[in-house]
Amino acid sequence: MRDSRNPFRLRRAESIDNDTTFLSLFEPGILEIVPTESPLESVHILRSAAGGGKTSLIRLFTPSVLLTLSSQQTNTSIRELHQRMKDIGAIGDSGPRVIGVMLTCGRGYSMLQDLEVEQSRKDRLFFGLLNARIILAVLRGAIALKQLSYPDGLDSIEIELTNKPPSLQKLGATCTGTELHRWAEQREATLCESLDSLGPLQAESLPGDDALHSLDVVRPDRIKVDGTPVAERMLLMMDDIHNLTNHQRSLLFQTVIEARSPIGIWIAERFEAMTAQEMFSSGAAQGRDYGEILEIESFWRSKHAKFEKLAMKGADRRVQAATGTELDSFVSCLQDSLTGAEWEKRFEEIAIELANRVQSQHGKKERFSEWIRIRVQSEGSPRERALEWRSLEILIHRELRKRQASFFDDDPLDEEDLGNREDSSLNNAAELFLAKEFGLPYYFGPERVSRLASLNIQQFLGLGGEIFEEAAAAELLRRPIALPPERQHALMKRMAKQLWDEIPRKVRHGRELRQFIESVGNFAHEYTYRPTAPNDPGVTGTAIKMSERLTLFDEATSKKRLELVRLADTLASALAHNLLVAQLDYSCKKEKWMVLNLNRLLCVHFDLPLGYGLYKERPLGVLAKWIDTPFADSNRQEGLL
Amino acid sequence: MNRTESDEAIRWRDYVLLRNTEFNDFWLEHGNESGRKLLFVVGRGFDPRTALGIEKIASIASKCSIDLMALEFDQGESTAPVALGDAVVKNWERLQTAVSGRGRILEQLIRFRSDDGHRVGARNAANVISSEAVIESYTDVVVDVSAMPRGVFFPVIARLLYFHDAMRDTNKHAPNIHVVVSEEPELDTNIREQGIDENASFLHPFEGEFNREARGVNPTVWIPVLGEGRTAQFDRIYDLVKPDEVCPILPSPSRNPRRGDNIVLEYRDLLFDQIRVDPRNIIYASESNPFEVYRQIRQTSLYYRDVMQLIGGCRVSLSALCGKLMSLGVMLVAYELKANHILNVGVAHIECQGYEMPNDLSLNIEQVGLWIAGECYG
Repeated sequence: MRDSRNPFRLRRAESIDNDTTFLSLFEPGILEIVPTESPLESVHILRSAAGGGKTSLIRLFTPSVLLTLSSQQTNTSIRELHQRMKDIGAIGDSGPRVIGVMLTCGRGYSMLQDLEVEQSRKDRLFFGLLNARIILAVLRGAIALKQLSYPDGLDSIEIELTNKPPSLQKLGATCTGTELHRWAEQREATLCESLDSLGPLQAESLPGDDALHSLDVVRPDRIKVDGTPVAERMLLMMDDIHNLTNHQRSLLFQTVIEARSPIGIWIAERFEAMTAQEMFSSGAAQGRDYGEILEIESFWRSKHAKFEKLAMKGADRRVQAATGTELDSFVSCLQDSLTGAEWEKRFEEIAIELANRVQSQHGKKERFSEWIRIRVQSEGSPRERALEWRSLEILIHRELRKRQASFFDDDPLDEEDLGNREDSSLNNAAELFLAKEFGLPYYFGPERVSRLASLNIQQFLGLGGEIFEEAAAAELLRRPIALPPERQHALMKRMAKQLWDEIPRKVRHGRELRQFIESVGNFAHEYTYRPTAPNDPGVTGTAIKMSERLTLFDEATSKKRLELVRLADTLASALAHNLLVAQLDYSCKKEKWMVLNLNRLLCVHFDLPLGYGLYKERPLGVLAKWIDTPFADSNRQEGLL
Repeated sequence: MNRTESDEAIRWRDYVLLRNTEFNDFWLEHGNESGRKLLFVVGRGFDPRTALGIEKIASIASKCSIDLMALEFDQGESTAPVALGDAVVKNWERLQTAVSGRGRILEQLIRFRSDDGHRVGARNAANVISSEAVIESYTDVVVDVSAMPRGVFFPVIARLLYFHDAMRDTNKHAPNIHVVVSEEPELDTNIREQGIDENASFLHPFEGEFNREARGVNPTVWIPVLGEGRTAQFDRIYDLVKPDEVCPILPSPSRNPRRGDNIVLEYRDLLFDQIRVDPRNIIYASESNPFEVYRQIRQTSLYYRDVMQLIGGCRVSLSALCGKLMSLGVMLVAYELKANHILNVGVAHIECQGYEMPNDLSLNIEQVGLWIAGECYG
């Protein structure tokens, strides 16, 4: 195995070339996303943006990983994982209980849909190819689980073929793995060689099937070695379904659901497979047709604190796996507060400047004299006093704005009034305002860094990798390991800029999408930094009414309003790449809303806070305009609508 | 006994590669021979090199008849900036002028996406050369790849070679196949792909063993030819290929002697931290000689095939993340190994929605010609 200097760079499950390393880096808490009801029996659909963790989850159930997990159960770094996999039913005391078969569905299916033959013929070819590949993958899984050699071990496998499909009629009622493998291999070769021929394609004579017969062939009780079923359960994990055409995808979903096979089937796909309409109604079908639709980012959204904790634990595992460093935890790489003599001095200056500003602007107003007196007498640390003055300034602006609405409310405000108006959100807004106005670091510390993952493991590993790189370098140079807040802040800004710059290049409809996101970000920025800090500590996105959302997909409307079709495509692309995060049916102001929050790392680009859920709604028409006519700060009138 | 490179004849061991004055001299003599009839295949693109090849050949080979096959690309959802659209129109006018009075103009539309948005460009491009009848009446077919994306010129040239070989093997008249490139490495570097597809795929007709589940147990070797500004593409192709061994090819010798080092710097995070490539796996090939690229890839592929034979074989994937000229080396080796049943390599590739090109480029273009099949090969 090649050692890893910076294990955070191993962002994909495939980059980890060794099952033991894979297991030691896998954070067991992530298994919480596995469906709770019959996870290994019925049909489950897993969705996420790229880097959400689908492939890692799938790899965990493959035979070689399960065998390694069983054989190393006493290893302390994987003991918890072993127990969780036991609870799920994937392994038992004597070893794996399930054959987990991973089938990548990216290869050559979509081209079948473009052949110049009838649709029914295309479907036959699709099923024909899929049947062959499922059988090949299952036989390979059985060989791996039984630790037989490939391909010689196929002779030891026996398959009972009851209700033989037409294409397998030439095989006996019971056949060996070799015979079945040969059939599937020939079927696949015939199809693939024709489809990929250097010359023109002759599709007329290609073999196909009417249905997904393979699900019946590979039932766990029918595949035996030495007369014993190879495993109690079969789990077919079909990855990369987003590579299928829409028709093939629908056909596959319908077929596996109607088959009601005893095989567990996981269908994993990226959000990009979904049509814009599906994207904005995702979750609505939950529990209707399938065992469960699991959208990984949505799952963690309601438990974001837990995700962030797990991300940090996962980061610790990576730090411990690094070679050439004695660091033992990720937290040790991060300073989490602005302390020390230099910061004391800086905050002292800021507190004085703010005190002078508030007193010069509002000191003569009797209504606020008691509030100002309280602040002058405050005995907190310089940082606390700076925050107090800044939060007081926000409160004064709010009062002044209220006074414009009411001419009669002019009584002096007392200490109780101040206490009633202060809360943690106000303090958070004051901290954000201070950071922006005085150039202080804001995006630092374990809590904020883990939040910047935006519920996506790959994004977190990217950020963690940068931090670890610098901490390891500091260790090498015998400097303090923990990165100071200003350096963390600068790194996060740089990563945010990188994400921002890459949007046009890396994302479909990237140019329009970035323009749209820029408007959302600028709008949120403008709203957040108003002197009254409305919706404190600040908004990180926008929202449309659920009823307007329906307009996006209304065929009659979209024919007349092409800008809505563009908006739907742009939003779908943003959601597919996790640049925007949608929350449907959010109740507020007696209305249901579709909230669109920015990816947390994009919040850094726009100097926004990192909380979840706060937004300022905009009409659908305004959002559609933002693709071509960016929102600008000076456009105050529109902002106040 | 293991098969070795020497066991299989190297198709392009001897080759014809022409530059500048050689290029001019060749077309002056060859193009003006009596009875020459050319089919010139060109992309109707925005690239400023689009019309240079045909203008040059039409002016030098002033006596021969030239039919023009202009491939128009329907991106489906193109987001090309208006300025590039204007360049496409101007280039089209120049192409028409170049062959005016010399022959027919055949326009062919290549749809890059199917109705539901899937990539179908490579298959449609191959089908432009639908049968031998398309080329049998010509003495020479010239493909100018300067304004063609790889997803078009790989399948087009492969199909032409396929028909050429089939016609030759059945003793029919087989036209000469030429490829011309108006080479400007700086330009290739400065044209940036925009809206890169989410997923890479294997390019038709070079899916190799990668569309075969039955071959999924074999280890995978990936040989990407690297160029500037394509780290995102590298990352996504890696996702598709999932290689066990990576042998990157860097340009050296090159006009800029530091070019290879600069590319390593650009890819260092991917190569050394994420994929953990063994530096000894890095291969060098000349940026200006596609046959050198062909030879290096061929040798590496066959080396791995022979070594891995001991453990049941391997799958080899190639990728061209480089300029046009080096890409041709990738195409040639993929074709030869597949057509001669030596090794079924795959070409992993990723498409994009459009391109961005700076306006203020000063071009230092060199005409390069490759004669890849026909009379000169006996």
